Amino acid sequence: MRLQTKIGLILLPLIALGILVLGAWSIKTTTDSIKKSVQGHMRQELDDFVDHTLYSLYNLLKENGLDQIGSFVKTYQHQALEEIQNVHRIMNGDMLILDETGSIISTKNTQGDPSKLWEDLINRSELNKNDVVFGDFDSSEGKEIYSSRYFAPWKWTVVYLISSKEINRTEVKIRNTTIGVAVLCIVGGFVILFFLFKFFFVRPVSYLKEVARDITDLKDVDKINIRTKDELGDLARRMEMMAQSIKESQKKQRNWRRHLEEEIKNRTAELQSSEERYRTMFNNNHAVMLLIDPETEFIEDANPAACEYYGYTYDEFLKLKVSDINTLPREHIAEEMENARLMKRKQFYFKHRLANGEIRDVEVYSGPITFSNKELLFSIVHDITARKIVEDSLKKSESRFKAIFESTTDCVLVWDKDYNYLYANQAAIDYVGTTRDMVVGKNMRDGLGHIPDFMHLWMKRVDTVFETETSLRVEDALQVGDKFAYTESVLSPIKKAQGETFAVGVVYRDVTERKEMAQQINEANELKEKMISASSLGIFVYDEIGQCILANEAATKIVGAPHNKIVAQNCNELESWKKSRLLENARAVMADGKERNIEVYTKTTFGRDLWMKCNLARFKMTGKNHLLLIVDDISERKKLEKELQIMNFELVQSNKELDDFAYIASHDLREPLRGISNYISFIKEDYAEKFDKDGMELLNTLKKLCRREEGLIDSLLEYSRVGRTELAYGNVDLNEVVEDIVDAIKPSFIDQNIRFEIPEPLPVINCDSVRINEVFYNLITNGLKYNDKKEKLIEIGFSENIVKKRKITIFYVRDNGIGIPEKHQERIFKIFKRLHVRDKYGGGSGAGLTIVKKIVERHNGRIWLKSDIGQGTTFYFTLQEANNE
Amino acid sequence: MFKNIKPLKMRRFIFYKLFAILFISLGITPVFAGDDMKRIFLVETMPVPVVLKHSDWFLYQMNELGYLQGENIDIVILTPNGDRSKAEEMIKAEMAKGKPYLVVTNATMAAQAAQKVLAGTNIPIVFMTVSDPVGAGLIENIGTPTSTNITGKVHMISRETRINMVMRLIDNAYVIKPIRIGFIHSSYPSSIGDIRQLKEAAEERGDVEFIAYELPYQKVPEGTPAMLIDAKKGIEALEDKVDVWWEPSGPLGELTEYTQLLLNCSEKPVVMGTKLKSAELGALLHLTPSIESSGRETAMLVDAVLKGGDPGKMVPIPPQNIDLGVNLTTALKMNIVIPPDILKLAGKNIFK
Repeated sequence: MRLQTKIGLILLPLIALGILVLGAWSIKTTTDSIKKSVQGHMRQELDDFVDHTLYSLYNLLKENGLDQIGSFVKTYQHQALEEIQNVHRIMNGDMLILDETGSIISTKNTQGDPSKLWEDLINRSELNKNDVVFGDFDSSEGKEIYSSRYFAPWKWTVVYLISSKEINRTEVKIRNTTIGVAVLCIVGGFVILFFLFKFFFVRPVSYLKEVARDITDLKDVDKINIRTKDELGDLARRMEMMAQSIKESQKKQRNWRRHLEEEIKNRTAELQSSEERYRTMFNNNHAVMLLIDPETEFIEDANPAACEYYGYTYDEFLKLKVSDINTLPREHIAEEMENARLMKRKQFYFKHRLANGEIRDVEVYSGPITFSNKELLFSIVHDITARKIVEDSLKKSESRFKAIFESTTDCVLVWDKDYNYLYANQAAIDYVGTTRDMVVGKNMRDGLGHIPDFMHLWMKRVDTVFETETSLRVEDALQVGDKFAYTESVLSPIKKAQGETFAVGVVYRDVTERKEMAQQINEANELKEKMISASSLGIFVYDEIGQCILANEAATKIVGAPHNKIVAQNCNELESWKKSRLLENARAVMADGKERNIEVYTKTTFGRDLWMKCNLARFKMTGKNHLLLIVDDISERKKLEKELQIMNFELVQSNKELDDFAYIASHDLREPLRGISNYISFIKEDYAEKFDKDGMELLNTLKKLCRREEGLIDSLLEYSRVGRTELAYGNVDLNEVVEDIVDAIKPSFIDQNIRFEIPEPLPVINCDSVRINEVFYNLITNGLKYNDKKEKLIEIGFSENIVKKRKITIFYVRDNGIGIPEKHQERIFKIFKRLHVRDKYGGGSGAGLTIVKKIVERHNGRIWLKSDIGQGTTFYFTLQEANNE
Repeated sequence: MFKNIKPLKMRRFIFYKLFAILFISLGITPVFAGDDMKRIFLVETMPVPVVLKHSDWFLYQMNELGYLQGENIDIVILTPNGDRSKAEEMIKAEMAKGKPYLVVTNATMAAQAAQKVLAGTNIPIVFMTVSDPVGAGLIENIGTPTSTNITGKVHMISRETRINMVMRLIDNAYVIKPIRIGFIHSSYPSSIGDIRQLKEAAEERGDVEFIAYELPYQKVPEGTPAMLIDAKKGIEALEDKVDVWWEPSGPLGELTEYTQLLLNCSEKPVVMGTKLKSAELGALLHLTPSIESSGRETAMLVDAVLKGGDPGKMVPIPPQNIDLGVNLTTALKMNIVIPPDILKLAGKNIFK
């Protein structure tokens, strides 16, 4: 019996049993569910009818007090009986209503016997309960199932009837259906099982069996057509891999065999070729080649080149020993041959003798070879006679260069790859303060071992030059005591003729002094930059072509633009420079190198209006002429000056107006005053007899007051005249002026002791002679009037002083009078201000010094005084001071 | 519904008072302005209960929709007391003060007055409490868009429905057919329309006949006594010619005194009352559209128009709910059983 049959037989009863149990369980469950469902539906329909229909109608009547009104009750009950037809029923069920006598009052559709139903209901005590009652009874049609609910208000029993036949019919239908389905399941399941088993199991196994047979027969098996993801699929994949592995193993074996055969064949051919090649190479080579037996020292073989070089025939060579051509003693030759045989050395320098007796310098490369189980020395001979001559020449050349190195002040050192000092010139020896023996042949570790960091640094530099084979420039700073020593070094590779670097040379020098100088220059530059930056003056520097290359912070503020915009400008292109003549001056400075100071008003390119005081100078930088422009913003000063000018002008105008007023006022006042004075005179003359003594005295007083008033008006008129009239300038000899005054006033002081002193002749000056006469007159008469000394001294003189590079002449009139208290020294120049009572010290209008001051100021001078009480007063004044400016 | 009446009356009272305080008693001419303050006229035909209740529910619903008097709406209430020419004058006078955004009319006469005054303008008119808008000349058809500036809520249940309802109750109580129904009405337009339609419906049935008595319409309330005297004459004139009474639409039917007059002066029962109060007093049945529903739905129409809706596209239909009242005492007297469905529909409006 085959495997699938066995499995099928095992599974079949299990499936049948399972379906049987499921069918039985299904029938049982379905029957119960049908009964419960039917009962649930009956209950729901009964509750719905009673609660929603009957009670609704009844409550409507009761709420409106109509439950006792027969016509209403009857109508509403009729309505309820009609409503019963609308109740939804199942399984041909019937709903009917029994009254209290058991009569059916609704439409009767049931085939059962209602009396039996009623009896059954009577027998049940649940009637009086407001709940659904379930039960059954036998009727002529069979068993009837019912459910009922009692409606107390109308004493109705609502019954829902269903024939049990209907339910049983349903149950039978379900049972038969279940059995049919079960049988179909068994048959169908078996068939499906059979085909599935065959498809999933039997067929793949059979296929695998055939594949296994093919593998055994070493047939090609590429893919096994079983692609299921189960154990059979895995088995198929394994078998595929196994077949593939066997196939590859066979292929490898075949390849190896073929490869070995090829290898043997090639090696044989190579050996034959090699032997021929070496023979050809030996015979045809231009280099001299010899084969020497180290034991017998006989020359075993020699190529044609050797024969030609030495001048022997091949047969003659085979009879020669090495000692026949090498000039060394025999023991030395044996020793060198032993060295070559043992490969201690492979390069040798000998002097060989040719057949014609000539001695040649040769370089021999010799080494052992085995030939026909015999050890021979294979030697290649080079004639180096010419090279020797060149080397000698080079040695001489080297000596010359050494002399140069020795004479230079720069230090020169040479290291080999192991940092050994190969060479040190005298300057280097002197620099470290030692002898050549202490350096040359020593290692860098000996010389710089005490400063390991520095030593490793230099080792690294030497390594770098060896690796890169290029020069390297470095600077070092070594602390020596409290100072630093700076060196600058250049490391260069020193190469053999073949181009191989065998040493590194360094040339270094002490640059400490140069470094310190550079440091000082840097510091100076830094200081200069700080000064420029901190300056409140705008500093600009322009190059030869007028391009701005420097502008300090003050410059940016003055111009009103950021630094980057200023340095982007070329002054030759600036309109502001052209218009303000700054460009013209700058070009002149650049041309003649003379410094210039100018004040210009300009509007900068960046829109700022300003007055600038500019200093332009030329200076050299990096060999080229540059323009230095230092700018001071004097806009504010100019503004103040302008305001001052306006104020001065206004003041002059105001003074002039005042003078005009004083003149007009005094002139107009004088006329009536004269009239009064004349009329007083007329009264005194014509009516003298009519006035008594007091009256005449009053008239005299009035006359006196008029005179006094007239004097005041005259003074005022004089003062105003001084301000108004034009000065008549001319050269005036002050000596004459003073003399005239002295002559004029002497009679007035004839009874007094007066002394005039003029220490030196007074100068001739350009002034208004009349007005200056008034000045001296007033000052001299004041000096005499306000003087209580017995001898009244008046000194008139001058001094010349240099003030702000200008010559100023200061005149003075000194007296030995009563002096003027300091607090009154300003007051005395005020008009009509007197320091004493009217008639003391000779009286006066009190306008004299005011007029003096006015005259001096009109001559652009000034007046001041120094006074000591009781000692006297000195009046100083200048003339043309303002003009001198 | 009755519970809601009191607060509604109070609201109406406050509304009127505020209006009076703000604009009338201080003698200040109201300043109507603002795009955001919309002006509305509410024209009430006369102060009878059905009109006032409609207005109350309308205002109540407007308030619930967010329209606050003085804030975003200015409702000017015009009460011409049943005088159409006065109504027209009042509308014109208010128009002179400021053009309204729309006019709401309460009852037929107000709607007709507004229609006349606003003819030629595009000011929308929304009517309510109009039982026969077609007869009144306001619209051409009920149930189709008007394509004019007028729309509203029809205060009417079809006459056929009402006759069917009455006949369902009294059919068995009267053996002799046709049953004669007395109909005393004024010359008020809606009353005329009412009897016309009732007669048309009765003719189709054949088992019922309306016998009308028309009396001249007098302005309410001052004309009420005169109309009642005329009505009494009508009762006396028709007493022997009719089996039952039917109250008319219009001002006369709205009067409680008229119902009392019918009940007291006649042996014949009143089978259809115009107002719910009629059923309470003794009319067998009252069947009208719900006043609450009518007032609220009118407010919703107004809301739609205020938001830019076209009144010409709004279909004039009756409100969705009805008021049904039944008097059981009358039913028992007439030996009539009220079917359960009618009794249920009456709900709380069952009177004894």
